[in-house]
Amino acid sequence: MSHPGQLAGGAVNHVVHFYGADDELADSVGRYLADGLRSGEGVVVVATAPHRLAFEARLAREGLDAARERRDGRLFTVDASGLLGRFLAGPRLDHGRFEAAALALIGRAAAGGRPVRVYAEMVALLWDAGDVALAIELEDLWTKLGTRLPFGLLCGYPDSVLAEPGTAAAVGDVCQLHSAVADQRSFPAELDSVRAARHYVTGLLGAGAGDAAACDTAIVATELAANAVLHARSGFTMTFYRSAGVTRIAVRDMVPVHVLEGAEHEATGEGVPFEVMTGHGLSVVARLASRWAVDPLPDGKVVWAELPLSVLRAPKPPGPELPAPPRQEN
Amino acid sequence: MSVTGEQPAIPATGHPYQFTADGPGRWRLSGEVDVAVSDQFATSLARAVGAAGADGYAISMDELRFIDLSGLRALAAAATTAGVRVELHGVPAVFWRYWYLAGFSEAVTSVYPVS
Repeated sequence: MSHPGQLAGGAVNHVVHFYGADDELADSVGRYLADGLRSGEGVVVVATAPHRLAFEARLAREGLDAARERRDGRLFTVDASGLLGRFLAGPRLDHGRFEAAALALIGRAAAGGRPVRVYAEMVALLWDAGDVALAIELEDLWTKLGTRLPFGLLCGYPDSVLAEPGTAAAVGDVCQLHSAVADQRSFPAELDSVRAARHYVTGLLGAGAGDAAACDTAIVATELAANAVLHARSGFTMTFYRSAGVTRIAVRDMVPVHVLEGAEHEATGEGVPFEVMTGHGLSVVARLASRWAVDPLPDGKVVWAELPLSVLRAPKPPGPELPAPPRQEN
Repeated sequence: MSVTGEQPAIPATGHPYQFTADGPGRWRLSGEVDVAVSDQFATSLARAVGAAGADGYAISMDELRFIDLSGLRALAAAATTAGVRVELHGVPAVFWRYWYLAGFSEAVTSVYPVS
């Protein structure tokens, strides 16, 4: 399964993760930090005290001693409100002080020219305090800093912000400011989960997304969720990932492929027709997706599909690859 | 895509769509239709088709926010069974996207969009 640690590598350098419970955050951030430490990167954590403790506990489970990593100059942990206080000047952000503080921190982590990855939640603190505009301004500062200095950045927001009334546009702004959005949510084995999953991904898509993007994303989310509920008759976890080039939706259910289809259909991922693996509705997904696959797992499977940028940028559906709607006959 | 039959029903509690009469031979579909309600939708649609005359019927979709493959199947089945003209007004983008992708545009010839 993808997680922000993997997603933050390579060309993607500014990822937002909306998390449900704190332990879910600790899991994904813990993996993100552990991946960085293991690959010899400098790792910076700007988080609240409870979150720092939770991340360190998660690192310990990965066999990494946070105290030793700090002592050896590979891990840098900073209190989020403490650092925020250094450049929050009354009702505004002091851009110069932010840059100085962030550059000093990242500069230390980059000692010897190694790559740097940062986890930060100061933006979430601002959002929590009701300073949504400042949160977005700070995201923008991080993005601008990223154009001057190469570092990976994972931002954490509690996913309660997605449900707050009147913040849809601001959430959209946050998503647009990141080079990638990664999120995951679990749904019960109920028919109503299909609608809930659809609303979930269209909410994450953000206000900046065009009609075509919202339309195709809603279709893919609906059919993948329906497949889990109707065919696997299983609860499922939906993972949403969007970068500048692609939107990927993955649904992990708890029913292995062989339980559904019998031993005669060997699960081989790509190349297996959707109709064989799953339900007919997914043939629609296959037609929309630039890539898709069914990844079998010992205790279930992941069905995922990617929507290409070209479809997302189509001004209005039906897109250029589709015929024009029939005209009324007189 | 039907969830009825031998397997136990999967719970669904929402009523996210409305299908209401809007004059003789005219209906209004609003909200969201997906697998949670497509069986109910098919039943409502069958009643509407039963009440329609030889001139067919019209469905206004101005306030339809979403419809999935199971909803389109219900609509296509009703249109094909009745064999009368079905006019669709205010059709949302997502409807056409699905309609073409699923191949209904070729299979169902009695449905006409009216802008």
